[in-house]
Amino acid sequence: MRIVIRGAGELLVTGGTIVLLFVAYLMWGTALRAGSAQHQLSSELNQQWANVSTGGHRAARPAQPEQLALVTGQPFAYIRIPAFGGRWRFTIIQGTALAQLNVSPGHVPGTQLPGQLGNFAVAGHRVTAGNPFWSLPSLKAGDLVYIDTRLNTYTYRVTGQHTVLPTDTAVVDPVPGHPGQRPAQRLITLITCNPAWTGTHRVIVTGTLVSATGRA
Amino acid sequence: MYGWLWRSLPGRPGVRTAWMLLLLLLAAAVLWFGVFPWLQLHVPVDGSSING
Repeated sequence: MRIVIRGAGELLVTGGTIVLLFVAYLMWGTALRAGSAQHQLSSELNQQWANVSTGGHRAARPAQPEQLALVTGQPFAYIRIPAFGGRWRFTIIQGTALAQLNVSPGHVPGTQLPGQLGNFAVAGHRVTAGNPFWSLPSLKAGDLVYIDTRLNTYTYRVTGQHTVLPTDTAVVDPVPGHPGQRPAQRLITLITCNPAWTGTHRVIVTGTLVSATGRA
Repeated sequence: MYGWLWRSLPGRPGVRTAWMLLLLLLAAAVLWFGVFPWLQLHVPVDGSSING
C-alpha cells in the first residue's frame, strides 16, 4: 500500500511538473520559435522583393497591379499597425491552420487579397507564438493598418470591432454578414481569440481601404 | 520510481547525481523540442481563426 501511495505521489508530482513546463513553453518557448520563424520569413520576403526599392520618403505613386502567389505557409506581405508601436511588424503567410498561426498571422483562405474588392481577412494568435494580436481588442476606429506587398502599400482605416463565435463565418464574407452579395467596398478583417487563452469567441476588427500606393 | 532509478544508476553518489541531472535534462529537451511542439498543434489553447 505504501509503495502504491508513494508511486502515485511521484507520478502526480511528475505530471504537475510537466504541465508547468508546458505552460512555460506556451509563454516563452512558442515566442522564441515564432521569433525565429519571423526572422526566416522576413528574409524570404526581402529576398523575393530584393529588386524592388521600398520608396522611402519619395512621393507616393499610384498602386500597381500585381499577382500574388499564394502558397500555404509562405509569406506574401507584411502587416504594420502603428498603434501597436513603431517596430510592430509581422509577415502574413497563407493559411490559418495551427501550423501556420503558430509562426505568423495568416491570410484566411478564400478571402480576397490586399486592395481587392471584398474582404481581406487575417487571423493571428493573441497569446503564444509571440502574441502578434495581443493588443487587437485595443484598436479604435480611425487607427491605421498597413499591408505591404511586393509592389504596393495598402492603408486601411479601422471602422469598428465586435465579438463573434468561432463558427460565425459570415464575418469573412466579401460583404460581411451578406453571403452571396457582390462587394462594393475594399475591406480588411482582423481576427483573434477572446478572451485570451481560450477558443470560445473571436474579436473581429474591421476596416476599409483608404489608399493604395506603389512602393517601387 | 525515482528511488528505483537512483538505485539502478551506476557509481558513487556524485556520479549518480550527475547521471540523474543528465537524464532530467534529456527528458526536458525531448519535451521542449519534440512533445510540446507536437502537442501545441493538437491542443488549441488559443484558437484564433474563423473555422465554421
